[in-house]
Amino acid sequence: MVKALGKLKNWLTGKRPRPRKPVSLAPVPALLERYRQYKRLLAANSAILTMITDLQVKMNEGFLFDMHYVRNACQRLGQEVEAMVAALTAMSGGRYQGLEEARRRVEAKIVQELSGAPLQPGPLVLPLAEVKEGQFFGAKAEKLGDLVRLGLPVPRGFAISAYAQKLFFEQSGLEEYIREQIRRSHIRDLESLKEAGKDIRERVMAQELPGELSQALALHLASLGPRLAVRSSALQEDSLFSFAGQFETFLNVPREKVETSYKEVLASQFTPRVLYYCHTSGFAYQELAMGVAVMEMVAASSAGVLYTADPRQGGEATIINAVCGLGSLAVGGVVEPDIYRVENEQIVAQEVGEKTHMHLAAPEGGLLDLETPPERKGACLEESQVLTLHNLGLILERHFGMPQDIEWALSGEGKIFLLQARPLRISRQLKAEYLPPRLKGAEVLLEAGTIASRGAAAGPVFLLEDQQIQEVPQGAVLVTRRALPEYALATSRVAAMVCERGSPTSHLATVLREAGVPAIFGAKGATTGLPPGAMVTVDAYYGNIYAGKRPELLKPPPGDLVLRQSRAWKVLERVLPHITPLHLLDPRSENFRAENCTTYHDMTRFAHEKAMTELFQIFPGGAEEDGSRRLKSNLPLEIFVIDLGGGLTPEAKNLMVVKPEHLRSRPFRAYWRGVEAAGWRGPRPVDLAGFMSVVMNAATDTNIRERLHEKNFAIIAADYLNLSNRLGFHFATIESFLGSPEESYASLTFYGGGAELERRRRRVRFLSKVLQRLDFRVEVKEDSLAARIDGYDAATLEEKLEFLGRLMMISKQLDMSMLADEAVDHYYLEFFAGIGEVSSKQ
Amino acid sequence: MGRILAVDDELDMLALLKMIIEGYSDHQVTATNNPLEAVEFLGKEPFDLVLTDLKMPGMDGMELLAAARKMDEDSLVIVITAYGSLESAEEAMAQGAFDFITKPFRKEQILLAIDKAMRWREMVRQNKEMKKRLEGEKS
Repeated sequence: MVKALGKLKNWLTGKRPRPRKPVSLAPVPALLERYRQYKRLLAANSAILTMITDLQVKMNEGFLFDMHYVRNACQRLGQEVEAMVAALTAMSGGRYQGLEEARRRVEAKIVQELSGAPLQPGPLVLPLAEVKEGQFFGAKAEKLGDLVRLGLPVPRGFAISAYAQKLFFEQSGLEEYIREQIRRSHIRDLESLKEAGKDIRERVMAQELPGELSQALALHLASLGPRLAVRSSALQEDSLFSFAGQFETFLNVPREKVETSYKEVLASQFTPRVLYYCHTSGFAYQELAMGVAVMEMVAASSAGVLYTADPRQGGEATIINAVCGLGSLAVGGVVEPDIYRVENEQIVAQEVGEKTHMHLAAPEGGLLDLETPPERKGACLEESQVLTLHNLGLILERHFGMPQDIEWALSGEGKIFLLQARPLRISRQLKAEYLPPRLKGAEVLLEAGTIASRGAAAGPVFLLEDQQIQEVPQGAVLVTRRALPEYALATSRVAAMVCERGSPTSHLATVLREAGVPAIFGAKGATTGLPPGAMVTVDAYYGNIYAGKRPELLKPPPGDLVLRQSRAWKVLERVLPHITPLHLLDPRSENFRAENCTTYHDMTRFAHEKAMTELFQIFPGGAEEDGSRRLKSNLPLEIFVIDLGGGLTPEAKNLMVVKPEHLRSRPFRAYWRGVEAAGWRGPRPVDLAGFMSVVMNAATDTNIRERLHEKNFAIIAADYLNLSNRLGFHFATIESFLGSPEESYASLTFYGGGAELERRRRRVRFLSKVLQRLDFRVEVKEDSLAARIDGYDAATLEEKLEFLGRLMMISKQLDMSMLADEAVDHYYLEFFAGIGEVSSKQ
Repeated sequence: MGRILAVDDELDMLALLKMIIEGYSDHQVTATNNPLEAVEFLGKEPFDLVLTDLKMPGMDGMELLAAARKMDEDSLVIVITAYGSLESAEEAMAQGAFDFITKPFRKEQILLAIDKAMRWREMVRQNKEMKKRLEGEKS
């Protein structure tokens, strides 16, 4: 019996047939291609994450940028995402069509945000109360509509849409004429641009308005008073139009002249600057169409502007300027207005200005410029009127969520009207923003690392070790070893984050910046230097962590309201939601699917994750003998090596048999160091039951013979290892890529064994325990195990691979001797005792 | 307080330059997207500093730089270049630009560059005055 079993054992563990002589030493083209695609994908991945970071930084850290930058960045980003998806598609043999579809959807949305909503047909004229955002009446008219709906005092009136202008220009042949004039003028000749502008303006004035527009105007005018104000309401107030020159606003227009004033407002835009712009960018209605607001004239006894904050310092104060008569002299410095300052519901300062001149409505239409009579030179406003204005200002500021710049008028009957409101441009002095790099007299706990997300916050330290990320308490400063993407699950709960590793271009950093959570990455010593539970302040402006709460750092950031009013900033703000958010946090979760990718960041994460899986399937099966050579070592291991490039020294180029010293693959060398250190040990003492189960399993498993004939293959490159390994009766695949910390990883899948299921389970539990201690993420199912480690730099991963090599050698056939549950702990302790330095390193 | 002429065919950048400079300093900015108009402005009134984009259609920043220096050899020009066109910035410096700045930039960068230029201008002015006085004393 024993003899027979021995024979059987020899058969099972014995020599496998010698390999056929390899046909060629070059790797299989398909394999090489897949690896190349993987590298291309990694390059795209890194480029994308860098570009996303750059966009976030430019947007939130006080940069001046223009539409050229935004368009360019989006275009380059789009190209990289396309390349990344294409690489994954190529690696997977055409799968992941869903990802390409998702990419196209996102791309289309970004293109749309960049070009702005196209001017759509709609009503030509609407009463102010019905004018809303998105109907192309221009910002001024839309805001007035808002004010009317809020029940605030706004003169009665209506607005003419930008579409009405388009209709007018198209029907009258003006469009054609303007294009022709632009074509004929010379970009290098200012005079010709001026002339073209003059011709266009004259032509606009000479054309009749379309019948339907003319009728609509007459209808709306019939219900209004005899004198009106006609004001331009540009679609894009802050870009082109702020440079087109002063846009005409006509005050005190008799009803019958409103059509003429309307045309004058439209004509006023064709200045040499606009024509120069049209030369380079073409003539587009999105940029060159405007709405117009027509409102009843307020016969003002005084008028002016109101700022709901101090525009120089941004402090909490209402500033009101007032002049006698109409408001046209309130700004521009021609006359010195009255200035009132209100703080805490009280007038704290009042200066009565010189007010040498005043504007009044002329009986025949237009304005009269008069010397201010002596009896009107006193203060324009009474205290109660100042406070009423102040309160109206507060209502508007609250409604629009930011300080406002408001035009107002006081009628002869003492009623206040609001004529216009827009965001106030606040400038703050630079000095107010200055924070010292290092607070005086404060205890610094840590000053290492790079800023991953700017800001400052305080909270108690929570050190993430064995807990689930979901257990992180509200308001904590989360401290971790690595910057893994799934930590983003805690973003909404943490005050700040500190990671010992990771870079500002990682997935996690992008998510934290998106959420405005301050973070410092690469903070060496954070897990040991920051006491759990202790209150700390994370200064992610200068990269310091202070003991205790430092209120001077926790003031809200000054923000750059000025920058945020630029068109480029607003467009970027609309584009970024399609780029930066990351919804696919956890590859193990149900939603980790191509069709759930709604941002470029999602796609990048998904494609990178899937690419690793696809590469893992690299084992070509069957065709592998092409390009393979035997690795000959002192150990009785038969491994065939396929070099995809840079995995072997140049001397090995033509060798059929290579030796360990020929290995150049960084991950394989690390793994091999572990293999050699552990050395070859015979199988552990096996009891009869253990061995019988091997025999029985072998007999019942129809694939066993086939499996035993599989060879061990190592597909390598300078930075890559994929080792399919069979040691004893189990199967293991070790894979690793060592590049930048963001893309480096090592993984192990392990299954099978010769012994009965319970013993195999014990071995897997042993492996799991060791791997977890080594910081691998481990998933165990029955007797199989998948473990992975990333978020570390290549040097650290080399150490891990060395352990993995050791572990694989030690655990071969260990299942046989896993007689009882206690064996798990026994071998675990033995493993680490065998390498004393491990404990200190970990 | 100084007078600055800002020239950039990108309207957003122009709008920002004007807002930032006038918001954070006491300087007054005249802005135009058309370099030809800029030359016209330079002929009409004195500016302490010209900020110009390098790449513009019709007339590029180099031409504008040359035109400005032809009108006034002491004129100060800071050129603004797109990322990655360092060579043209170097060329502009060789042609007499006072400084250059690469887009996109932080607002502090442009404000510091302007501050430096304005101080330099003041120094040159004082220097000239002193020389004149010395020469007056000699004769």
